[in-house]
Amino acid sequence: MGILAGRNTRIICQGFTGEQASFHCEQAIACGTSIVGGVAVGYGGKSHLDRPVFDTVAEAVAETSPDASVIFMPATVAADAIMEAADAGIKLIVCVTENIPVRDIVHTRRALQGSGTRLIGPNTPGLITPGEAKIGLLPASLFKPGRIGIISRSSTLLLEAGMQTTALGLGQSTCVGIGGDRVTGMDYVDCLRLFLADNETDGIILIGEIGGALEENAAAFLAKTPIEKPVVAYIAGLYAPSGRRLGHAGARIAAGHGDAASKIAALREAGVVIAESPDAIGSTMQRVLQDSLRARR
Amino acid sequence: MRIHEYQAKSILRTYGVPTPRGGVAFTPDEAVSVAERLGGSFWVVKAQIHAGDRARGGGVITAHSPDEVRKAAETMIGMRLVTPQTQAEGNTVLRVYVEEGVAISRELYFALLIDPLTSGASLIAAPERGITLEEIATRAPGRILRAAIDPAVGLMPFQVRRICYSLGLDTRQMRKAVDIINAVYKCYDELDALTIEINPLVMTDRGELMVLDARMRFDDNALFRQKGIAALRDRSEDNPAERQAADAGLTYIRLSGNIGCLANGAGLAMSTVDCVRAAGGEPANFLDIGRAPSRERMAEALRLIEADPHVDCVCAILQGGLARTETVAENLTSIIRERLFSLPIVVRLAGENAAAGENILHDYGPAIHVAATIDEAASKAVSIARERA
Repeated sequence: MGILAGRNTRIICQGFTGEQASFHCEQAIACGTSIVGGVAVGYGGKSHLDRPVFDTVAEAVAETSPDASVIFMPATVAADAIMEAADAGIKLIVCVTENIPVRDIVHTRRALQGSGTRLIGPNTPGLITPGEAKIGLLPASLFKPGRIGIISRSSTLLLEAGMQTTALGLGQSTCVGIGGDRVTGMDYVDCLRLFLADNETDGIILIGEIGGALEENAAAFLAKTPIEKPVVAYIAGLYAPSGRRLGHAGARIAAGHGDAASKIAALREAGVVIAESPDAIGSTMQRVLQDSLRARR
Repeated sequence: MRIHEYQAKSILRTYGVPTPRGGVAFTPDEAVSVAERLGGSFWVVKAQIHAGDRARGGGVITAHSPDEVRKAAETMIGMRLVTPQTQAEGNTVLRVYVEEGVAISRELYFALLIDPLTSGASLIAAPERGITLEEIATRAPGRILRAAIDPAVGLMPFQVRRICYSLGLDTRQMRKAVDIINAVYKCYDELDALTIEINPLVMTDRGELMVLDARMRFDDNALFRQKGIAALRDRSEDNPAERQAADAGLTYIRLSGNIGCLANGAGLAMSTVDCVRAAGGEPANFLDIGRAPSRERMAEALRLIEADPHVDCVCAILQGGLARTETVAENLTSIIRERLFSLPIVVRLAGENAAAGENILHDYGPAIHVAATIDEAASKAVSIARERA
């Protein structure tokens, strides 16, 4: 497996019986993901997609021993769902839900501190370890098993990088969408640590965008970490107007923070190779990998 | 969501925060009667728009008689106020706030915001006022004071004490400031605010502390539980095209160029604007139609672009994957077939079954230019626009 989830990861879905959840869980099951059950309040004891449904996460944990939960719940109750999963001892939570109030996620992050539970998202397409596990929305057919790790705030740019690395035959170890909101769970640094330690990942693609300081934090981390694997980055929003929110809640240049040029400069300074165009993410990774192989010989 | 200064001050007063007395006026007559009711020897007339830095555009005038209040209100009401924080065309002033004048001995800057460095709320302070935090950060970065707030316990008095002493307040002033800032934090937390700027907090010549200007921004995603805040929304402040887009589930931001940009996904939409610029073109807009747009939403998006008279050509970067590729292509061709849209359009379509999707576009004929990559689509759109110009 790559990072976070693989063939043996047992997954439940919160909000299991909803339309979107059903569609994506069915897709996940079809590509071999181990979805072992689901939670939907009021549906306990029933069966859905040939899997058992429970009223509470605690029951689902007792009966199915899951490692991860994917949350498809409305924004008004998503923070509660995350806390329920963490309280039941689930160690990996992927929250797909969009439009969750910032305050809820700030509080949830604080509550998860020290629990050993990892949160991916919210507002994320989730993650995929091609050929093994798909947790969330990413379409398995566009990915293929390989040795490139991808981390992205944007789901559509993650797909672009996925399609490019698939077409070039590089494939992916794991792809993680960390989400487009102002405040999210796992960030680039958390994912970089895992990818750098993963012996099935040869190169890492980091896709960033304007707003916040996550890319700057990643650059600071990489600057003081001996990078034994090539890291390629693409940053969107070079010509974004200041002070305007560009689709993602987190994509906003404000208070002297978050313009693309300074993110690119910080990453370059840290030894990251910048892909100049969204079309060139895969080819830049391929070139950098070849260069590093040549240098090693 | 933003609110006006007078609304922000009225909220702060309910939390016990001292502000100058004032009243809102929609006509010059009302402005004069507010001034007369307030009494005193001078007044400040302030244009109420959602952008800051109003003084620089003539949106803040000090008046020394009711007659001067009337003149100031007459000048302001109905004017298009342009400040460094508005768009080029400015915002129309529909109301003014008339406030008693205050003699100031010192100004301080405070803000509560979601801090990108900590992914939580922080209190920020500086020993002088600024138009924006950015400006303070550029002018005196070393003088910005910061306290990260632990959401489990909230802003603690010791954090405010430390900042106040660093700002040079004496103990008596510090105690007053702690009360004020703690009240502002309570408001921030209870009302799901994203940013509250107190700019400035002033010390009067009589040693009193009060909030002279306040700007608040609230979390749109929390308005379902903040009905009182939601009711303060002033839709006259929105750009009409951007409002129409938001109602249709689109994120549209007007820019100044002639290449209409469109993509299904926020990251992809940012990249589209970047690639058009890199190809030597000027984007007319940013437009994210959502990852899996319905036909209606796509039609509304194209209508918005076409309604901009500056647009010569459209660059559409579409992706199947989170949407079905063939459906995206079918929706687009059916919109063009029904003549709901008639500008030249370059389309890049990628995703599962991209070839089938491209065939649907090719079959439609020469009205749709198909490109294989984002860069190619941007270059084609730029050259088509040049031919038309």
